[in-house]
Amino acid sequence: MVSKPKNLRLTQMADTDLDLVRGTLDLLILKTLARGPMHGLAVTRWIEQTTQQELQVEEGALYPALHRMEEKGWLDAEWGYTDRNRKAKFYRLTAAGRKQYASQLSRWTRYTRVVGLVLAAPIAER
Amino acid sequence: MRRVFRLPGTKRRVDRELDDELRFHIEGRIEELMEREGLSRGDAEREAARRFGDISEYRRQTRAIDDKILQRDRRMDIIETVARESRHAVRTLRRSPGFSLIAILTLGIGLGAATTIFTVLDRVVLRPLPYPNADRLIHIGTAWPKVKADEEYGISRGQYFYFKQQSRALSDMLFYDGSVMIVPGDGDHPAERVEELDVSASTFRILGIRPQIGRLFTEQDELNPDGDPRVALLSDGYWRRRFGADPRILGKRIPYGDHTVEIVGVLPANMSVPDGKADIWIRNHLDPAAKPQNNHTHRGIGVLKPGVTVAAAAADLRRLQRQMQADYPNVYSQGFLDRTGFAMVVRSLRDEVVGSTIVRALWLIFGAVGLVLLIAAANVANLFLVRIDARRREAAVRAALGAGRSHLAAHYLTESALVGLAAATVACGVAFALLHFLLAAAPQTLPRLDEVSLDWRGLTFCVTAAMLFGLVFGLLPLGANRLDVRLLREGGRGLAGSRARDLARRGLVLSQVTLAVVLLSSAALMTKSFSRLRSVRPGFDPVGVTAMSISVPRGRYQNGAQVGAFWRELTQRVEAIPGIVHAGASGTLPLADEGGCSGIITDVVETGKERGNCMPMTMLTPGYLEAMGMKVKGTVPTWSALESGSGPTVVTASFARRFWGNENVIGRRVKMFNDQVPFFTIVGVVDDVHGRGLQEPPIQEVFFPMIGPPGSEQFWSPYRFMHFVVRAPSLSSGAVVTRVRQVLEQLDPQVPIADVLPMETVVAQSMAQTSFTMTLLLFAAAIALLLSGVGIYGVISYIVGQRRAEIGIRIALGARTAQVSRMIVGQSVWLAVVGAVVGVIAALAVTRFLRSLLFEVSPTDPLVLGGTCVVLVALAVVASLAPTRRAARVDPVEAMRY
Repeated sequence: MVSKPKNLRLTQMADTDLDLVRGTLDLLILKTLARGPMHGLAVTRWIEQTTQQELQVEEGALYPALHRMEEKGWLDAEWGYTDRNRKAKFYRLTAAGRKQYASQLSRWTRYTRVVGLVLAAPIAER
Repeated sequence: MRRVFRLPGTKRRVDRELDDELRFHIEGRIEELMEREGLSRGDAEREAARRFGDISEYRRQTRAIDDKILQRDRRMDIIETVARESRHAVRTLRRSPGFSLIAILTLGIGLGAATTIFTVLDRVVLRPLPYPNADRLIHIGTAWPKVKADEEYGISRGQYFYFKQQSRALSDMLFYDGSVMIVPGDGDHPAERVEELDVSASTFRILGIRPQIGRLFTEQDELNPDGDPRVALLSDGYWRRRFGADPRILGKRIPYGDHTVEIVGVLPANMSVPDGKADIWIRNHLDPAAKPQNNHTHRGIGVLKPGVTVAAAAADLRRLQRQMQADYPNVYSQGFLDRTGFAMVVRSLRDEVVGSTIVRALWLIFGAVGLVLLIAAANVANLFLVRIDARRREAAVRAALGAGRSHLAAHYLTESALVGLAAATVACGVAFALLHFLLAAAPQTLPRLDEVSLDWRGLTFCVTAAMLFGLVFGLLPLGANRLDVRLLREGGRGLAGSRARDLARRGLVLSQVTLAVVLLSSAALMTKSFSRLRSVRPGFDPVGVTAMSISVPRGRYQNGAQVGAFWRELTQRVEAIPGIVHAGASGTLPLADEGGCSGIITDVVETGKERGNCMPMTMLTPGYLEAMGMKVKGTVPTWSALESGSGPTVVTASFARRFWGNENVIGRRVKMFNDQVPFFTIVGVVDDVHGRGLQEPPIQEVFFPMIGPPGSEQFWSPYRFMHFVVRAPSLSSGAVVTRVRQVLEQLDPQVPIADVLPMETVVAQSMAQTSFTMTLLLFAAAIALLLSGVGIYGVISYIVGQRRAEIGIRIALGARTAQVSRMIVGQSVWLAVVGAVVGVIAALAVTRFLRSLLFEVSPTDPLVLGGTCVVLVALAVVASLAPTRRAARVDPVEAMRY
């Protein structure tokens, strides 16, 4: 089965690295929050643990990303108490956020698959 | 996860929350680093900060996003509040359908009436005239105060050129005169009489009229000699009606008097000179080289240069007129100037068009419906006040639950705005219907009527007024209602604080009664005027009389004998028709067409009073006086007397009195202002005729016979356009016209009939202004009375409700039903009496604006004012009957228990 790469536009992908990072960060946050409501620090810890600290992103960058996603309606924020009884702001995926996660995930896997295919192709004489 | 109660966002709260969030992150990190990696506090802080990155930059970015969220939330909040309050308001309004319906209908009817009159006023008076630079157009005319004090005339060709060429104030000028002409019949169309305008070429340029097809007149066209106008334009209506909108009409020639004119263009629809309509436009003969004449018949309109005032233009034109009088002493002799008091009249064209009495009446009516609207609003305000009382507990509950003043305001405002909107909807429907009725009933003297229709300006007026009232009603509770939680305590009855509202309520009803007195007395004054007017004997008997105008074309009827023969033949054939009693023609028609005036010479030489300036005079054929039912002392002219050359003439009684006092005037002599004309002999005197309006004094008129004595022919050209009057009590006007038309077809099919009107309609139309004003004022007064009655009823009912306990005690203590009733009715009458007293004072101040519309009634007529007060007091008694009965039936035990 050959899927038509209609959503994958290479010209767009050629944008700045920042966009790539931001998009990636969004996807990571969505993935993280798909597990359940979490505050910012918990999100950071989860990403840290799962990437085994390979991904070096400044922690502060998380907050503009979280708030932007809240503005877009992907996340709901609510103040609550942690296990240690500290007041913290918890983020939760909304229905729209869930949808967004699904579509970003499929885009990402297709992108990496395509890039993977290209990179895996043998370099041969014409 | 336990949740924290979250309050709506403010900038400060958002700031604080962001700080908390970031601090939580960093603190959490520090603790973690200290616990897991054993770092010292200082090291942990440094490490946490390093990992976090530039905190102030991230904070700034996040804060910007938060601002956006905050703004969006606030917008959503407002929309949500409005939606919630609207839903709530609709629910509460539906729960009390009586209140809602009465409030909406009352306000809707009041607003509808106001919107209707506003629309008419706006279209007729407020809007600029439909011409480019309309604010720079001025009317130029002349006054002849010593000839006729209250009338104005036009200007002459000589003045047109003199002013146009020399004025420092005017940049351009136009000049026109209306007249009628006969378009002969052809195979498809009968001969017809059409309205004609003789215009200067500049007319089109100044009024911004462009041709629909073809071309307009040029200054070159103006120069052709008078008899041969050569070119003509058709109005859109006439082009369609007579020529089937045929574009090949251009270049065709149609007969015009003894000549033909070539049609060079067609004008667009709805374009004409102010106050003038015409089917055919002829170029005016305007030769700058021609000698000025004393012939002031044309209407002049000037265009002010930018920045020049009307007053400055008037001064300039008066200066030029004086200069012209010096230049042409033959035209403007000193004797003429002394005798006539000749003077220039200059005013803005707008004042000329909309400055008439009927426009003043329109303002009055607008004032009247404004008062009705206020009365309606007072009723609705009262309803809202009652409602506030009923809902004080609800308000208190809301206040106790934390609703602030602004919340309650939002709640009440939404509710009253909804009532306002619904009322506006009702009002638009009312206005739409009323406007139809009004346009049908409006007198034809009202200018610019064809421009009137309900438009967005009217709708804007309606909705704006509705919203304003909504705002006031919505704010009432805030002023009236102190949020008092004590109200929630048991019962809550008898709590003070309603005293102010009681006063407000009585004040509202008092002002209603006051306004109703003003309206009712105005309406009564107009009604009295109208009945006075109707009781005036016009000097003729209009019942069973039909008038039509018949025009004799020049072609076959060149001299007086030929025209006379035509009329004699026509009259005799028509009078021979079964059912027709009399028929005859006259150059004037009382109450419709005043005709001209002329200098008169009588045989009263001995007292030196033998000359009269500008006396109304006309020419008639035998049969006219009988057909009109005018009573004649002496003999009436007959065809044989006319043809014998005795010149039998009839004068009105007031004419006879003016020159001969109480003498018998039969056999005395009179003639037109020319020494060479032979005298005519007076054979009869008719009862006085109110020819210029029933409210005007009788006219001093001479009825000359159509055929004069020998020697008069050269000065005595018979009229070509006459009013033919037929008395046929058993026939309808339509039947009369059909029969006359049949006679004309045999006699001469080229003679057209126009303007068919029963004389009764003519009389009615002459009173149209009074009856129109009266009808509308009566209508306004009736609504005002009804609403005031409802208002009084409401307040008395309320008072009875409030005083139930007290009444119960009185009854328990032995008060009789009659005493209780007297007490309640007394309250109502007291309200009405105070209102009536204030109302009479207000009416005295207001009704003087009616003076110019009144006839034989003083604006301070004591009978009218007294009667009005009696009506209002009676209304108060009637309105209090039902509440009184309720009070009398109060069960003391029950009343005191609750």
